[in-house]
Amino acid sequence: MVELQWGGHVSGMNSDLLESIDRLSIEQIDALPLGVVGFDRSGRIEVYNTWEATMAGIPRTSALGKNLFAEIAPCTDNERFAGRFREALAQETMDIEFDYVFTYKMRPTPVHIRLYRRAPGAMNWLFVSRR
Amino acid sequence: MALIDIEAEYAALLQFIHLSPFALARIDEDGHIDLLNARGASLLMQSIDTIELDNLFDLLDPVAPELRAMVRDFDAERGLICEGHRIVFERDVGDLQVLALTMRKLGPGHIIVALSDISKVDAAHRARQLLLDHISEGLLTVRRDGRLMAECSVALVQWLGSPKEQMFFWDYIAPTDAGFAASLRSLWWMFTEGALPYEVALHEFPQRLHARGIPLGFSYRPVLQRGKLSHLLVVVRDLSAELEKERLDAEKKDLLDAVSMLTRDRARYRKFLLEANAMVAAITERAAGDPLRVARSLHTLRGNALFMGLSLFAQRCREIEERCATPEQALAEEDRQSLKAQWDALYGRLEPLVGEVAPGISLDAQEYQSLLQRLREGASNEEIIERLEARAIPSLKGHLLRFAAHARQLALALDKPNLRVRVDAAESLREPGDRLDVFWTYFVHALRNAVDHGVESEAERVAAGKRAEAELTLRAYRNDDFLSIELEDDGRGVDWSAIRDKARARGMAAESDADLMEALFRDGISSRDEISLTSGKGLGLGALRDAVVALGAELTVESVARRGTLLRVRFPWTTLSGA
Repeated sequence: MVELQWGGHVSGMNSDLLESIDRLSIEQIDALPLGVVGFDRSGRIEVYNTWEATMAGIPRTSALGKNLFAEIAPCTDNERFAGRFREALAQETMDIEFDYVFTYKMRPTPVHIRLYRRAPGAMNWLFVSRR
Repeated sequence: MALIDIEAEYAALLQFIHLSPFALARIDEDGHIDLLNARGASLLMQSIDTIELDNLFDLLDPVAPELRAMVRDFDAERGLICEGHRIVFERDVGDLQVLALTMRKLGPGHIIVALSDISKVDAAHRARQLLLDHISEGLLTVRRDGRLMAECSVALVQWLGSPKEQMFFWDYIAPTDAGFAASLRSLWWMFTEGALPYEVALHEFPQRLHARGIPLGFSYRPVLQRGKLSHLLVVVRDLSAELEKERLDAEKKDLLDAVSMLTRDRARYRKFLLEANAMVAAITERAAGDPLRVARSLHTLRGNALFMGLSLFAQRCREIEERCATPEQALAEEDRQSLKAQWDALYGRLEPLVGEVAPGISLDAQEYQSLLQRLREGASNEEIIERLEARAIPSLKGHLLRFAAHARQLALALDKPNLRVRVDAAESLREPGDRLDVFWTYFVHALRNAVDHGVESEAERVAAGKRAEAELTLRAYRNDDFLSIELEDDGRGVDWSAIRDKARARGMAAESDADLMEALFRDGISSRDEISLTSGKGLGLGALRDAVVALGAELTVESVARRGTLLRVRFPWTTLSGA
């Protein structure tokens, strides 16, 4: 059983959680107090948790199957965000943290971002917490 | 009644704004960002390299500090504050990111901002401007309605100033050259109506003007869309170099002409040159005095310059003459100086070629042998004296022959190749002394008058039932105690009615033949209205008569309409021989 007790900041996620993230159920992911989006290398969304759906005002059903950079979070479609992700695709694993501004329901919202991939070919994860 | 799913509608609208390819924001008067769509966040973070999107004015302050004031100075409660305001981020030399910013105030505390990245459009625009800024030609586009497009090359701005968008083409030119502008304006409609082929209509457009002392040449190219005129492209070139080359070529040709003239008779040419030099001095002196005398001198100078092969200088004299509306008008200081400068340059080149002519006579070997032979044979003193005099004093015939050559040249230049010039004088007739020099200077006027005004073109002669070939005779003969020099043509004769009208217009008597004769010699009266390079303005004959009278001689003119004119000068022999 994964220990989910943690302060709600992307930096504070412990290694156990990160190690097991690919195996968590949607209920477990929904229980996390931060935004979690899982997507493939092209940006196609496969996991979209409730925290993120509520913040963005986009129902999970609308988000699944869409492209993260082009259709769900177009504010990420620049060098600062998508560029970093594309660069990291060439690496076997990925773990990048940076600050950003999301426009949840058109409100500019300062956030912490963590982009994570445990192993080559595994799911790409976007974790979001408010700054 | 179907229930509207408010939540779904809201989500759809949110998505619509969220996914807009334009950056949208809502701010208050202080620039605080309240709402921002995804494209807005992406664009600002990328452009400004920031992760704090609180205040738009703070964010853009390094590149657009003017925004705050634009909003503050906007008085109305609502309306457009700015549209497409250009904001430039310099990434690297020549690499710019350019945003277009539009702000619309909706009410207190609410300003909608739209931002778009126009870098690509702007780069294309800048590439065009780069071309326009570095091309040496002036380029300008005029719309069909005669109004200008704003874009033009920098060369044009330097010459004619910055055109304002929507300005009429002619209003743009008017401050530089009002005449050019007026003619553009009057020809524009003829051009756009398309009654004539565009190229033909454009052929009539003015093509030259001077802007800040630079000669500019205009050429025009119609731009057609589906066969109809949409714009006119105007190409303006600096003609300085071209004209300078033409001038140098003409100068070279003049110098060649002058040299070929002076080698034929160096002594005579030298006299002309010295005389012209004195005239230039008289004309260009600061206190030149009587404007009428200056005008006469200028006129005579022009004739003599032409006679000496200096057509450029003659042209210059003519331009200055033309600028004086009446002979009484004083010359402009600028004209005086330029005339002096041009003459000094010419004089400096020609004077060394002419040099000092030693007074004396030269005999070639054959003549010398022949003279010795006659002395050995016991020839009379009279014969020897006669032969030596013949060498020392030029014959009048030789002199008249040179004027005849000049008359032929003039006739060709005036497109009258049908003129035959004859010289009628005895070989033995010689100028007694050099008193006649002054007369010859002014005689050029009479000669030019005859060729220009008297002699008709071939077509005119044939139409009048006359022989196609016109004849001009230069005649000199001695008759008892008088030397007569005549100039006779079989041309159209003096237009006495024109002279009468002009005389009356100037308040002179114009009843008797004597009145008309007086008017003919009066300065400023000519039977012609325009000035040509060879004659005009009616200054020449008066000057000639004064010179003749000063020599104690008399001048008469006999002229019959359509039959010709005979000008005769009768010198008492005693006054000429210096007795």
